[in-house]
Amino acid sequence: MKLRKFSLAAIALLSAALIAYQVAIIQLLSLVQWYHYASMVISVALLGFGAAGSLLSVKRVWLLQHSEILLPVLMIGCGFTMVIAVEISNSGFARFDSYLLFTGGLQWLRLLINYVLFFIPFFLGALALGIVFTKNVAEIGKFYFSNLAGSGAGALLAAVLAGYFFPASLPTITALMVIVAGLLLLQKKNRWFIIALSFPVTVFIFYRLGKPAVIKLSEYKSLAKTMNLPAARVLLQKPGPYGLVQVVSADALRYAPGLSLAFDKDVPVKKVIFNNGDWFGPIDSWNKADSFHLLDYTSMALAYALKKRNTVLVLNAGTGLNISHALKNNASQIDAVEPHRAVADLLLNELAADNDSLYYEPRVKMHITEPRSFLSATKKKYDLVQLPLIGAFGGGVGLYAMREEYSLTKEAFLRMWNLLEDDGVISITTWMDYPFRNSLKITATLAETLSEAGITNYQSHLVAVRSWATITYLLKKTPFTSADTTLVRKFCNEYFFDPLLLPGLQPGERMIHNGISDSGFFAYTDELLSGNRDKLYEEYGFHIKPATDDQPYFSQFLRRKSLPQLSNVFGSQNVSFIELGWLISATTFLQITLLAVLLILFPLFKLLRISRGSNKSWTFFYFSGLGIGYMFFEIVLIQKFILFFGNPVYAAAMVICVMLLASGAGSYFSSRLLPTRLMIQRILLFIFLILLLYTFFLSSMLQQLASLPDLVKLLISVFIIACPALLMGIPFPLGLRAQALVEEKNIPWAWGINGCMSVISAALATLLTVDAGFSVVIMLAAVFYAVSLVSMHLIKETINSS
Amino acid sequence: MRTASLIITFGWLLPLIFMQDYKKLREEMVRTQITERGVKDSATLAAMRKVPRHSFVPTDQVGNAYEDRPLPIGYGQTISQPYIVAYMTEIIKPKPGQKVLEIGTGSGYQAAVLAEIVSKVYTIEIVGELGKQATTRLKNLNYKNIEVKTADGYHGWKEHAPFDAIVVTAAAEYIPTPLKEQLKDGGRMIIPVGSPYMTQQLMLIEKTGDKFRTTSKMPVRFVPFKRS
Repeated sequence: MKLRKFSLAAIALLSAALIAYQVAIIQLLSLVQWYHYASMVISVALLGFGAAGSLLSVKRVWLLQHSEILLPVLMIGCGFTMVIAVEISNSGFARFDSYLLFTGGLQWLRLLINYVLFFIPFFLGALALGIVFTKNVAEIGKFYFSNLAGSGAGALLAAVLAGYFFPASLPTITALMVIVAGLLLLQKKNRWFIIALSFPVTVFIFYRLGKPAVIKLSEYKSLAKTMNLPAARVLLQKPGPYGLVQVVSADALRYAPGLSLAFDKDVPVKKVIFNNGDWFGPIDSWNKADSFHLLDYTSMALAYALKKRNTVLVLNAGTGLNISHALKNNASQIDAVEPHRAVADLLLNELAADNDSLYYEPRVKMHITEPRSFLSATKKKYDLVQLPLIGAFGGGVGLYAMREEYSLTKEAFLRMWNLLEDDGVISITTWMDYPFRNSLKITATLAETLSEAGITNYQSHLVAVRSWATITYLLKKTPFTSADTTLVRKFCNEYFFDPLLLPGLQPGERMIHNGISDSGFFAYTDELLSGNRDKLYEEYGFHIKPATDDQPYFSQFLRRKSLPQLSNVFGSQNVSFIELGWLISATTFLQITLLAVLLILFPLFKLLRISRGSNKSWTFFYFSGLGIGYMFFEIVLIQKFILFFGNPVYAAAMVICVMLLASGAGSYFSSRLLPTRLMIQRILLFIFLILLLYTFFLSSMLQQLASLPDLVKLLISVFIIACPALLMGIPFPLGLRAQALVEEKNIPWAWGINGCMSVISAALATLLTVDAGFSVVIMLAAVFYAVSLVSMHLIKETINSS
Repeated sequence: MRTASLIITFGWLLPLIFMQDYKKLREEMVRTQITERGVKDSATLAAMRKVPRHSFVPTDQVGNAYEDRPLPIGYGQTISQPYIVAYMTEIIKPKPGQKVLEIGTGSGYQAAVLAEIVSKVYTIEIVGELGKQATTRLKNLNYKNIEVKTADGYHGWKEHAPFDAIVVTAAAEYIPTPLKEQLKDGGRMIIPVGSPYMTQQLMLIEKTGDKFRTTSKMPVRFVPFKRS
């Protein structure tokens, strides 16, 4: 009795640790590389579970015979490899660099080594879980529940731990949880061996908890480059669910984005905040006594050059540069919205002296929330809505292509438009890039915003000014007056800028101070403001159609059909650096697919005799459909709820937790149902219909609810996630029971197919949402459940469930 | 036995198979990567033919030295694609007798190419280790008209100003005031714009009195962007 109680606790603890470890590795890889590896980590974890299932099928008898000693050994091994995998992945021979993946050499091999390294702990942990399940098949309900409850709690625990522990320490905590789980299963027979084994491992883990492994960042990350500067040092650092925040000082750290060539003063040295090794922003040290503000010498000053702005809304206020700029320009009320709580806390506390207590200025009100939530909730009107500078100097390499940017969607701009005073403006600035992408997508977004607002004469509501490096766009609620255009011209002349969009613009005015050898840029800009927008969207080499809430990937520009042409022009070895992010995700997907087939399907196919009966195609279609449908839905929900919760880690923790618990409850409930064809078809039909409903209404529903209080949002989210997840937990166990009745020998095959498809679809879902949008992927999830439904007709026999 | 005799007899020839004719590779590089893309200045082409690019890359990259792409040199830095180096050299219109300032020495390759044409090259590197390596390398290659300094390039090199041209080899989000001041009237400054691995455009800044005019140069024109 006592042992069984301990076993349930051990299963819960192990399950929690495995999920928390996933989040820990996602955090770690986001710091060392970029965030593209999130779906890779999820896939690697599923791969571990799938491969463990395959091994269990093949070596079931031997594993069960030795389970007493194997269980604690597997768990101790799992804990040990959780820590050592991190250590080895950072060592010289296994460390890879995303930037160098496409430059030849051994980088892909090193990435592959990383898959294997992180696969091992999941494999060992999953094998332990599998043995417990198989051994306690009579009480599977309780063990399965303990597994799901533990996993759900692990997801939440990971989000909490990420707020307090540094990324390098997180795996040691999950490892300790697994060791404790292993010791809970200790039995008299082998106890001294297990204790002897666990002792050095535990000591090592504690050592690493106190002295975490040194994590070396990609040498191309902003922080790594900054640390090469003279006298560079990290002044303070703070972990958080958004990532690791570090404040750095160096003798040569300066920031002046696209500064006018008319500027003849010194650019001051500043401290800079980095988030997960990426540049977040300089700490603004401007104060009222200063004679000038750097941004006054950039195109970003355009809104203030036209008139005084009393009420200003600064979105993604960051380190406060746009706030101090508004203060310098005598704004009387500034709402600063910043979702990054750890940075906001730093600026309000430890760094308050560095930024001259900017956020304590009575005219400034800080809102620590997601910009979209603020936009939905506020009833105020503004003279100026200021967005942060977007893009990267000279154009990025597409590393942010797979990131959801809900502040830059068409719906977000329409909401900003509705918050404008009559002569209010939205101001957005982008770095000039080549090939032209950011600038054209902004023009398209602004044109479509005007179109949605019922305005057809775009030219009279739009002004844009180009410096040598940046373009600032203003979108005005009422048409620009001739007084406005005079002021724009004066502003341009004073700072060596050129008008790009201006009512009454004369030929030749666009290149007075700043020439551009490819004047096609002007033609494309004009075309986007004409009736031919859709034609250009179709014909242009990059994806420049505005981002929407359904496809919030503003920085995704790659069109796969353009790759051969890009390759011709820039050279095949260089083209990867135009859209690196998408290519990394696509190639990791291919590698993971290969590994899934190799480690899950191949052993089953090779070592198990699959029954040659006519029902094997049912097994394939039914369990594939479930695997793909479930993962597509889960990954889309995680991405979708970022809009709702504002934070990818919280969104992932919430969705995974609720889905696991609800599906677990569904599985539990399934034991009361008979696995008849009709019953399974009815359940699948329900799921299909609910997913169809979500396809069309989920986005608008979340948008309507975004302004509600957090607690209400939380409760509604649980309901939205749990309803389909509860039903989605039923078809798998019910299907397995049906499989047992139809052809019992094929059960491992069913597990394997489901596992393999889950691995592949987890990695594929992100790529599909970027290409086709959330709604399409949810619809595809529905279609795959329909495939399972239809596949029931492939069963020739009547299922005798009596 | 017969195989062993063959190895003993002809084995000494094996290293020759792996030896590269770097001169030939440079000729090939200039012909296929540089002249074909429109670089015409004979001095620039001669310099590109002469400077041993393989001596400026890390050992593990020697085999790739003449490929049509940038290469990693450590510290998050790269040696630019040969074409970009040639284009940046040609665009500042270098001539004998001129004095050029380079910000961002890196491997020292761009400085060496410039030094083949102009009288004096002053080059500043902010990363101490890269600066040291470049100094040694340029000294070993016997470049006597290049002076390397490890410092913050923001301040330029006031003691040797004004310069006929300034080449900024690292992408810069702003143009430091001291550099504008140290550029001669009528002088040219060139700055690459883009990520370490993908220079997509170059910014040419021309100084006339206290006025500046910039031109965004696209070395590779993706014309038309439209697929039609």
